[in-house]
Amino acid sequence: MTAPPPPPPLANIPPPAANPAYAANPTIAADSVSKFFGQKVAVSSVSVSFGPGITGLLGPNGAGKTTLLRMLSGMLVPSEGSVTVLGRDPRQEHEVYRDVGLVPEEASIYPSMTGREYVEYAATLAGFTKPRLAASRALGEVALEADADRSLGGYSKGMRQRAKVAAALVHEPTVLILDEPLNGTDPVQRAHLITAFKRLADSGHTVIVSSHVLQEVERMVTRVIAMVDGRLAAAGDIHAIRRAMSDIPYRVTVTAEPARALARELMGEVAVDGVTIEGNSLSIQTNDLVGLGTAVPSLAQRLGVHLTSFSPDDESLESVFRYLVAGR
Amino acid sequence: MIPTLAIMRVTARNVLGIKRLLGFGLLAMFPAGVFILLARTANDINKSEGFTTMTMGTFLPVILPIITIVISASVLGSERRGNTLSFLMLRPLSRFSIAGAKLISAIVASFVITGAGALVLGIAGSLALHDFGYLTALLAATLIGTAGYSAVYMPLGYLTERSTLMGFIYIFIWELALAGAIQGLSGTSIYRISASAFAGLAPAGLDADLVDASLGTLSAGAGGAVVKVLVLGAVSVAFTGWLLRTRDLT
Repeated sequence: MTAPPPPPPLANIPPPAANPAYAANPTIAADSVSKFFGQKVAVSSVSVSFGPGITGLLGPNGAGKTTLLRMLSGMLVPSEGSVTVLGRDPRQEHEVYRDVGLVPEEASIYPSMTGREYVEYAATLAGFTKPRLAASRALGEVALEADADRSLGGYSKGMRQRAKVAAALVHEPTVLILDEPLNGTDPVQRAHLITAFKRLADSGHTVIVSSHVLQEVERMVTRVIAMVDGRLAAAGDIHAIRRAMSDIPYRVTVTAEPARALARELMGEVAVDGVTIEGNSLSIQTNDLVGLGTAVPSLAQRLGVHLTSFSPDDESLESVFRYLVAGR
Repeated sequence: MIPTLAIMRVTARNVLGIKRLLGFGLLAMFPAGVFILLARTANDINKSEGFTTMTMGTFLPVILPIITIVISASVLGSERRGNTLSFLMLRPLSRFSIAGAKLISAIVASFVITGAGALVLGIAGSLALHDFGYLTALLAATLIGTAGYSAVYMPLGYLTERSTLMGFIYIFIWELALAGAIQGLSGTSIYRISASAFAGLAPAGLDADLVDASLGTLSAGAGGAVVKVLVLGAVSVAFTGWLLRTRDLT
């Protein structure tokens, strides 16, 4: 994969410092987009942008992730607002699809074609004069070369996903939109796809991934856009989002010997909201993670307590996501 | 391969499965089979009447539209129902070139079957009536009819899942009943447009009463039929391209 050219500047997008929903060098942006299906509001006034690197688009079922991705890719016309991809409206300027690849959530395959024919077809439609060569390279990217001459109708769900990813990658797009790309894949296939996505992101491509598999998303993204009930619920770095949830105390597990002496002293600390003990394990609630991180080792040293672990329990993407959904 | 050719190749492959080829192939051969049986015992007058009935009373108004409507409606309709439309649309191709490629695919795929039926019926008729002008006239009329129905039913297949049902209503209620009974409606009948081309190109010798009854207020002649179908095709591509550009891809 070659690095894409630098994206053109997009209008009306504030600098990233002003709003974590906006990327530093945006390649694709939604400006106050809404989508209504009859009386149902699928997406409500979402403004967000994406730039080089991988961004995770998260949300529970019905949050509006797929609808937003479809608007970003030009599949759906926004009821309100606008979408720009590399400075162009994808609904009006089809040439933008030279730089965009989409892996939709639904099947979108031709069962009678072989994997190779499918990816070659994508390459031909993208204007490649030697589609077979491009298809072989893309099939290699997703480790599907060995099964490329089998019919797509006989593929497993994971293999179909990989074929879709290969078809989306075949023209080396600057922007890659992936709606649940890990669905149906086994752990080995997931690891392979995640490596491929990371490689693209590292080489300057914009990769947007929507997924329910939070642990896998956490492995590949640093920036997250979270949607709940069709609205933007949170955006930015996972840890920054967690820190912004000041109304929800952190839970930290500390393993120490003896634990009871440490617990007694911790109750007097300002940074500590509560402590529960189970054997040598302390579950501490705090709103000041940094203060707690300073207090625990100094107290342990003073009391002669042997510390064996100190780990925040709910700074993971899954915890953050759970809090966001619970707070809707 | 250029993108539009690739679209045509893939579309033709998708809409012409073995079952469809066999089923529609047999249907397309039905008028020829009936005529061959009839011609074995008939005199020249009855052969002329039988050939006119099989071409202008069975093949062009019933068999050709049934086959063409089902195939044309599926060139975009099956992509939409099979969720492959996004695969096709999110490519750097003009919507009008996609619509054009799809229309040509619909015409070619349909004509593979309708043309085969016309070929066998035309050869049988030409041998019986001692003039191969009937064969060329029938092939030309079949192409015109196939193109006309494809132009109407390709966008309709994209718009609604009930396009085939609507097509059958159009054939049996509008074209065969209403447009036959109300003379002024003849011009709205694709069948009559193709029949006028057939009557205009075929050698003298067709059953005149049957020809007049088929054409209604239209006069025999291929030129007008070709122009009408070209206009229909252009409108179809423009309308389908506009639909693809403005509607949600779901």
